[in-house]
Amino acid sequence: MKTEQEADRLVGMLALVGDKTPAPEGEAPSEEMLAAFIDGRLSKKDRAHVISFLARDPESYERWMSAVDAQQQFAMDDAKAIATMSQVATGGQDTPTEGFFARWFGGYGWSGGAAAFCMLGISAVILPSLFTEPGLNEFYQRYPMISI
Amino acid sequence: MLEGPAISEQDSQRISQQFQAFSARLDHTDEERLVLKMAFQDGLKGTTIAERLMLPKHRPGRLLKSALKKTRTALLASGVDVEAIKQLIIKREDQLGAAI
Repeated sequence: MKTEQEADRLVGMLALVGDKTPAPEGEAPSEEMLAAFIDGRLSKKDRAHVISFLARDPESYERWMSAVDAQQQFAMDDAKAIATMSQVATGGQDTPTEGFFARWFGGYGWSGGAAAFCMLGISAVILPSLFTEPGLNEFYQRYPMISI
Repeated sequence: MLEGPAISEQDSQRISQQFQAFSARLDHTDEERLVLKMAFQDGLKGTTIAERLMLPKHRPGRLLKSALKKTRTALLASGVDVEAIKQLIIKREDQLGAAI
């Protein structure tokens, strides 16, 4: 009871215990209606009807919570199954999300190495010509006796 | 068997009357009551409540705030001594802790 949160909790629990409003009259929401509520497919009126039952009828509330938990578990299982299927489909190769370098030097093996080798070769031919001064070359050609 | 702190018959009757008055004054909306239930009974966080009820993220916090405000107003108006109830609960918890 030391913190403000605990004080709020106490007040909240008093509210829950003190509120004696009975469950609404009429039929409790069906499984289909609860599923539609979870998926956000209900009209405003139906949504209000479901919420009033969830708020006042413990049995409806329990059914809803179980359905939400089951749906979340199903979604997690589904995501796992999709990941497994994706790995099988790519022959166990790394997925694109695992990074550029992994794709180039891990997944592609030889082609990555060959590409790197070609790049080195091209660099060896082109780079020296970029750094030689054209004026100096011309001077040596005109006065070959001076060249060292 | 656990025993609570000694409360006289007169006190017990007074607290009961105050609590009845408090109950009668509560006027939470269905949405507020549902959020109270999810937050304090099941200990769910605001973001989880928002996800489950498909509400904007800030909405459960606002609903809780308004529900707690209404509850406090009802408590004050009906003369329920929250401090006394707190002390009662603390004593109960201590007794439970000692028993465990």
